[in-house]
Amino acid sequence: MRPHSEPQTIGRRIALKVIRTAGVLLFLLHALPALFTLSVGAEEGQAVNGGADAVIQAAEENITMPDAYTALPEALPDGMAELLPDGLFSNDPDQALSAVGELTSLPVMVSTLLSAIGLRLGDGLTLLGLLVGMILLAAVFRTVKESVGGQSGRLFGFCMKLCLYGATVELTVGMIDTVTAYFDQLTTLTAWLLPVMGTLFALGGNVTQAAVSEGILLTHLSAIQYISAAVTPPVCGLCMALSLLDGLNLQMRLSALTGWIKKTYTAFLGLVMFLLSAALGSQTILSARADSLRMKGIKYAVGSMLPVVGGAVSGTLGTVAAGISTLRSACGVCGIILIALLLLPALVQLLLMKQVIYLSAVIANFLNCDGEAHLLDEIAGLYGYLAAAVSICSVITVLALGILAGGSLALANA
Amino acid sequence: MVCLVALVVIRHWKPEWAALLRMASTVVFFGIILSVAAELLSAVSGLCGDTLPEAQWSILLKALGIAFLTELTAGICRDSGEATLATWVETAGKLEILILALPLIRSVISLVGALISGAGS
Repeated sequence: MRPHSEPQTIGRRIALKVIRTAGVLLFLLHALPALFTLSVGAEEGQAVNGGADAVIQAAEENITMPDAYTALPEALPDGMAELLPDGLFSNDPDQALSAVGELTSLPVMVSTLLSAIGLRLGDGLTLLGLLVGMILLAAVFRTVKESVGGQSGRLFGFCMKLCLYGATVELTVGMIDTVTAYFDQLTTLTAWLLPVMGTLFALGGNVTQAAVSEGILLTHLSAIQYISAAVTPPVCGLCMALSLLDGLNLQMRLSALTGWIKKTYTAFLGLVMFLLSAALGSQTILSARADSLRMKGIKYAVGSMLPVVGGAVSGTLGTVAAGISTLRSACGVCGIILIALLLLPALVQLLLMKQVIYLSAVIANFLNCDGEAHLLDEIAGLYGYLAAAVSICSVITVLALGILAGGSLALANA
Repeated sequence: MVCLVALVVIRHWKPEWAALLRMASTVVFFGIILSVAAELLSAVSGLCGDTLPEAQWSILLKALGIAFLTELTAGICRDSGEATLATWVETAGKLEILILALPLIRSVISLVGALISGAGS
């Protein structure tokens, strides 16, 4: 019965084909992912094994930083070395790498830059904390003194003032020594410019010009700088001593004497600025730049920031700008940055400390500690005088360097 | 209040015992104040830790104790009718505090001298 069996056989064959195809597909569907997984697992194993081999190799070979690198801190200035993170120049590469990572992070870069220009907020906050602590102690002791009453209470109050005033003044007296050392540096630098300038002009054959114009000008500037640097620290020390004695209420009214000394010193600073302006007016190397909008803004900012001589210093900024542009022509932007790093830290530190002490005086007034507030006001005023003298010396240094650079460039172009 | 009432009553009946009761109540009150002030003193000494040297703080504490005791004793003497004794007690207290304060006076004078000699040099 052949015709009846053929359709059934064809159908069976088709069914078998379908089943076989489905089975192959199913197998592939399960087998291929397994194959891929196996190959990824093998690659990972190879990578891990390769990394571990590299670490073991480095440890076995004891890789360290070269000696020249670890000797770098000795070439850096002390003030710069302490700003860098620990471990930067370490023998251990991992420690050095982590220090580099820390150094290149934005917060550390910003804080290092601010510290380099003298804006050490940490020191300012520490001083503020100490002064506020003393003011709180004074407020507590004052209350205790009033509760004791009588002569014994007044005597205890005297002991309390001795402790607190002595500690307050001792905290800030170190700044006078720091500023004195800064003045010594600047006056020495400016004084040494004279023989250098004379040598340059003598080499160029312009001895007469050197003696008559630039030499006299530099001598004038150096003398102004030396006088202001020599007078300021003793005046500030004397005023601080008189303020301390006045605050102890020793039945001597010393505030009038302190006021007279301050007025005389203010007049002296005015005379110094007059001499400086006269010197700048007589020179021809640095021509004052015309007032642009930016320059007017800078003058206003400097005039309001600097105490006592702010207006006079802002008047010389045109010539200072000319000096800076001459210096930039001579030694580039890096030279300007180095000069700024030399001159700015002392001034910025003084202005910061002055604001901190003024704030402490405000807090003392708030807590009814009138004696302590008066003493802190006096000390903040003295910081203002120190900042005024520092700004004058810094301006003179920039002008002297500008005159040297201008004279050297003129010689080179001749 | 209890001490005050007791004093008033005893002064009326036994005046010679009133002075003794006064002294005893003063000592008791002083002890109570010391125990209460101990916590305040420890807080203030913590505040002093960073601002004042230990030596100065101990001088201040001793001076405070002497001042309190002097005023208390002088007050008791005056209440007992012994004004002369009270004056001598106060004088002795002042001398004690001045002797305690001598190191402080010396350090302030040396600081002032250093500032002025820096001005003179």
